[in-house]
Amino acid sequence: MTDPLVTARPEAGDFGEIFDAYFVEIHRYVARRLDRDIADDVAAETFSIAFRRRDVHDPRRGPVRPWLYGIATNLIAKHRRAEARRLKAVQLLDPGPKAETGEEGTLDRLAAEAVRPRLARALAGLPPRQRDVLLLVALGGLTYEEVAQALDIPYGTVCSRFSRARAQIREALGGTNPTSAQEDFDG
Amino acid sequence: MDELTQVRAFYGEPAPPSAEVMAAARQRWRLPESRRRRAWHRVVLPVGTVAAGTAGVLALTTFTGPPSARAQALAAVHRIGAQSFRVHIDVQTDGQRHSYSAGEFDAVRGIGVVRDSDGGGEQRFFGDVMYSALPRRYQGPDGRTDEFPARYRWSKGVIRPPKELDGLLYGLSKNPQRALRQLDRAKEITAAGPAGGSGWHGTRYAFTTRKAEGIQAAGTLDVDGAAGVRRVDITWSYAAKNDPTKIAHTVHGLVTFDDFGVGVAVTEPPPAQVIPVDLQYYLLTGHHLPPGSRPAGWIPAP
Repeated sequence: MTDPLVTARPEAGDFGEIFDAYFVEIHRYVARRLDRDIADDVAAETFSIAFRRRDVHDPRRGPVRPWLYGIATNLIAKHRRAEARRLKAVQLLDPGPKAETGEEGTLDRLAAEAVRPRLARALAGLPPRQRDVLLLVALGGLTYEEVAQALDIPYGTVCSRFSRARAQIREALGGTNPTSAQEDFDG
Repeated sequence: MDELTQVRAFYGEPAPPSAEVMAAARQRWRLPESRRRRAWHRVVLPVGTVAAGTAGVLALTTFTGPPSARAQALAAVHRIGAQSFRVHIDVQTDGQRHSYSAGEFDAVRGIGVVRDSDGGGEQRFFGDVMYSALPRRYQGPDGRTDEFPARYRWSKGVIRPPKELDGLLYGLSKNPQRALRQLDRAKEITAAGPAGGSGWHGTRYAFTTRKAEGIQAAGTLDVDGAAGVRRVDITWSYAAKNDPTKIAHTVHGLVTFDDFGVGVAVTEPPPAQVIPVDLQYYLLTGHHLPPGSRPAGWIPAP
């Protein structure tokens, strides 16, 4: 059976199905990268653009999800300064230990808190195109193939950008990777 | 934690969009080009301001409304991808208990473990890689019962993400956070009243799938007040081959989630205990695996 969201017709009813299925997910991705008020607007504009370009989208090239991520990523690119400001602000935070409880108090969370400034500096230092690939994989959960579709770049380019970005993040975290035996995503 | 997990933790988990934002966004692409931006600003920007109070109320009356049941249910489904939890999987075939298993998953780190209630089976998950505890005995291609070589205790394979909703149950016991996202493809999701359990209250959503090859699934998804998935109750109905209007048999799955935030510790089996794929294939089929080929139905890990 074909994915109904791949073959959704441009009529408003079918596009509503796409909106219902993906708006929360796209909003989540954008809200992680940009301030909330900007994210609300960017997520909404993503679907506005998708609706306007629904005739251009070729279902044979892939499902709509990576396509939506691609539109969102292009819109995020217009807010590079805002994204940089956010990362800069985190770099200035004191990485000292915080008293946390419950779900937030896991060792992983505390470890992440401790490296936040370094991670922010590394993420801010990534070339934007590498950062886009890294975050589409890490936050969006896209495969390499889907990232290639989202950004309209060759698969090999995705692999190389991802590899370089990941290496820089790893280096910023101290050059060690306790789970390096296993890749998180296959492409 | 590896660096990708660190990146995910760094960006955290934002709150889902408000009902006003979703309603305004939904209307935005429906409007003519000239009105889209104007309508957006009327709805989102003036909320809470006195000066624009009249316009804001008017705009909210016109454009806002609660997010659809589908959007709310899917928001919970996506949220579980950022959590750790325990899962309990109860499967019945034609009303008879088929299997019961339970385990825990850390969706952020992509690891998990599931054990059969009888203690005989165990599966460990690392991303898409799955290790399955080998039963002591197996039935060979000639029907005779034999034993696996004693040194081997695990098989290794790659999970095939279910492409259809009918594969949801298979996925729920192997990668529940990803399997639940199959609900994106549900034909219909509607609110079906209140839901509740031990220590939580929430909303029940009913869903149905498109009928395909004589199989149709329908069920409910319970979401608690914190937008967390608590229970999935799903029944597959298989049409009789000689009479598609009749149900030949049913499979019922009840999957519950609890103990959110639980610590999950799973280790990979020693490589020496993992049976080589070609040997496993030979024992079960009596044939050697042709070089470069993949047995139907499963994908051997490299």
